[in-house]
Amino acid sequence: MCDKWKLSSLRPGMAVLLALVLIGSQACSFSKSSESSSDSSESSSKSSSPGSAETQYKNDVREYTAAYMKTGGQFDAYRRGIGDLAKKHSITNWEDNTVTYEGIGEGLGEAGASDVQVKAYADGMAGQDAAKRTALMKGYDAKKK
Amino acid sequence: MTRRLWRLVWLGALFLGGLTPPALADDGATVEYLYVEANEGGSSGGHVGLRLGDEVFHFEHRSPGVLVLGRDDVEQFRFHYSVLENRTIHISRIPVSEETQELLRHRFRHRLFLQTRHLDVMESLRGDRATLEQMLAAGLSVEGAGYFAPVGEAVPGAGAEIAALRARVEATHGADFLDRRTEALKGQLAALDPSFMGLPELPTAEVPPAPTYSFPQRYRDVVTALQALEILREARPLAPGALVRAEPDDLRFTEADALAAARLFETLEDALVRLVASERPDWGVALTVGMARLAALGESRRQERWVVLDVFPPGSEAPRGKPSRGKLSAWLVEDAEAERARARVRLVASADSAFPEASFAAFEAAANRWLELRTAQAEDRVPRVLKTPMIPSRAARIPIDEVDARALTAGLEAVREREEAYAAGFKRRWGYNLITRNCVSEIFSEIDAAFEGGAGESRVRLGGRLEMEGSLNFIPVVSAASVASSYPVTERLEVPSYRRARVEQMYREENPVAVFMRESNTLTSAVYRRNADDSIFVFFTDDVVLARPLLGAVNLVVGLGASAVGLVALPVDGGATLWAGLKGALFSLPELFFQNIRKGSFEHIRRNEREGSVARPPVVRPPVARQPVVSPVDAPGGG
Repeated sequence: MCDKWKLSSLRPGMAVLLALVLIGSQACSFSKSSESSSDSSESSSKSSSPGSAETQYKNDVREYTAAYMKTGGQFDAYRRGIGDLAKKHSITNWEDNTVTYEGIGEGLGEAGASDVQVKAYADGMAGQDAAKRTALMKGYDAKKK
Repeated sequence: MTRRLWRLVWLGALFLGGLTPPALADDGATVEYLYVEANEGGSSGGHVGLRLGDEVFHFEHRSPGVLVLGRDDVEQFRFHYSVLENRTIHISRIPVSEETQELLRHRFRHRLFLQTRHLDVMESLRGDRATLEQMLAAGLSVEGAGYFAPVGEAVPGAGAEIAALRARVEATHGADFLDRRTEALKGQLAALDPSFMGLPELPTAEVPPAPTYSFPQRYRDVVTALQALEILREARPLAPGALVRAEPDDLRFTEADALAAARLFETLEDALVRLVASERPDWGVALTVGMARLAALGESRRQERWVVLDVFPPGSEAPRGKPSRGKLSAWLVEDAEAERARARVRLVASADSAFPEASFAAFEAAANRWLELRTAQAEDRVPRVLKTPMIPSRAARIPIDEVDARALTAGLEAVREREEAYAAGFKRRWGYNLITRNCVSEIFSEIDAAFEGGAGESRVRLGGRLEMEGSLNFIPVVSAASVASSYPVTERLEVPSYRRARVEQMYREENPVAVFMRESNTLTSAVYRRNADDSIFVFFTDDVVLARPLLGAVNLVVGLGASAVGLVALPVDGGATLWAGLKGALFSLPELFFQNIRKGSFEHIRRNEREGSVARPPVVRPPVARQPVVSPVDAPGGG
């Protein structure tokens, strides 16, 4: 049984393949990183359903918020960062999107935020808007430890 | 020795604690090691990924020489590699406990987040540099402002939606609200200190960067907000060319559309009335884009058909796609139309709630793509392409007041230095190396790092471990073979490449000889259509072994011949034929030695033809007499 491939077990065919790999210097997929296509359906197939796109946005906000709880930083920088994340999901008016607040709540829950911290975030991000505060608490309750 | 000792201690602790090693837990969770066969182009050495639940994590080599973790859902991964890139995927399934799967998922997600944050910081530094350069030239390029007519070019009576919005803003927030807000913003602008740039700290390995809000970002945000208020105050109409050109009968309203458009208009206007009083730092661009969309919706209702913003950058700034003619061009238009229809249904269905911005943006993008492809087809030109995700951001240059040039120049220098240092730090930590840090080595390094006990715990939890040092496991195909022999793989499957799956289906349904004759080459194949990214070749050799050297020799001659033609055509085609010919010759060389790398790829596969490449047990080919080499490419996972 071959446990693992050692240099000593190199076969001629493998040598040719390896040489070509080395010549090509492209083991692993090379990505041009930007997603652009003249083919509409290719691009759209990446976005999947609206539901999953929403979940991805929420997850991004959750991770970002949980990390911010650890790293700290200016609050307006944090808020602007939410805007940058939202843009990646084709959203400019993130303040009006309850998914944002769910994501923030989940991030607070994941980071083990205290009640005082949760209230501060609710005040700072959702203000007195009941729907936003509810969404934030829903997210927090779903992830709190 | 130390490793063995640690492993014994770990195992001992497990059994003393009366526990079953997690790897033996039978709760249905699995880890799948995915090996994607090589193809010419971006991955001549093959590629690998790790499937955890519905997600596939895989490391991509990106410019400038860094290794970046990507995440796709399973279907995306299959479509990209197995269908478009036409590469067979080999799957090795390893049973693990749910806890082990979750620890791995957590680790890979953390790595993804960490890298994404650092890449975001680098992107923001690039933005800072651009902002400072523009400030030194006394004008900022403001996102979204390009959709509105410049001052003095307003058509009387136009801009009705914006005028109505202004009236609602004044009724809600006070008649002098716009004046107050403008004055406050001007005060903020004057208070900004260009000698304090507020740049991000240099990256550290395992800690995400803290968010920062730099001077250039603050300056840009305030100028953008001021510009948005000016557009609102002057109720500026849309600029000529702000909306996509369409035929009068395109996208006519149905009854449901008309109701949805009215509701969208109403909810968007409500949202903008709230937004104009927002305290978030970056509200200006959201207001500008929102106002442009409001005007487009107003136009839609007047014309009783969907009219959307032109989201392509103006003129020659938009990137171009590949030339496509004939059937392919028609298919692209048809599929884009179908996608636009789906987006329209989703938008209409979601119009009852608060303004569904993501659905609106998806429809806007789909309509733009469809119209662009249709126009390009009619004009016989190369279509422009849209980057995704997409925010309408047509910019206009807005003159700005003079800012301390010395401070700006010093700031620009500081941003450039930080940009370089940040990129260097990123590359130091995650630089690509063909042998020591590639898509294979990084997966196994992250697997070990997922567990507190490192390599020892990894071996116990997964029932095996792959050594990278001193082995050829850095080569994707070799790693697949080693995984099959080093881990308790319970199932091995393969997802055949798109062409192979289609041809196999043809063999089942048609005369095999006729199928072989037709599909063995690029000239008569009904499946393959020439892709501009592919090299020039005649025969497919991935599904033949004995005849491979002979067919490869023909391919080599064709590649060399095309190179000669390309040399002559160099002034005309900019070297495209020469490059395709040289690549064709290069990738024919391994065929002479019974190896295959090139398989052809696809620019577009129609939606109704995408299925068929489903996972199945690997095809076991009968041994071929006197075959000199058993290629790992043909016998995946063997060893």
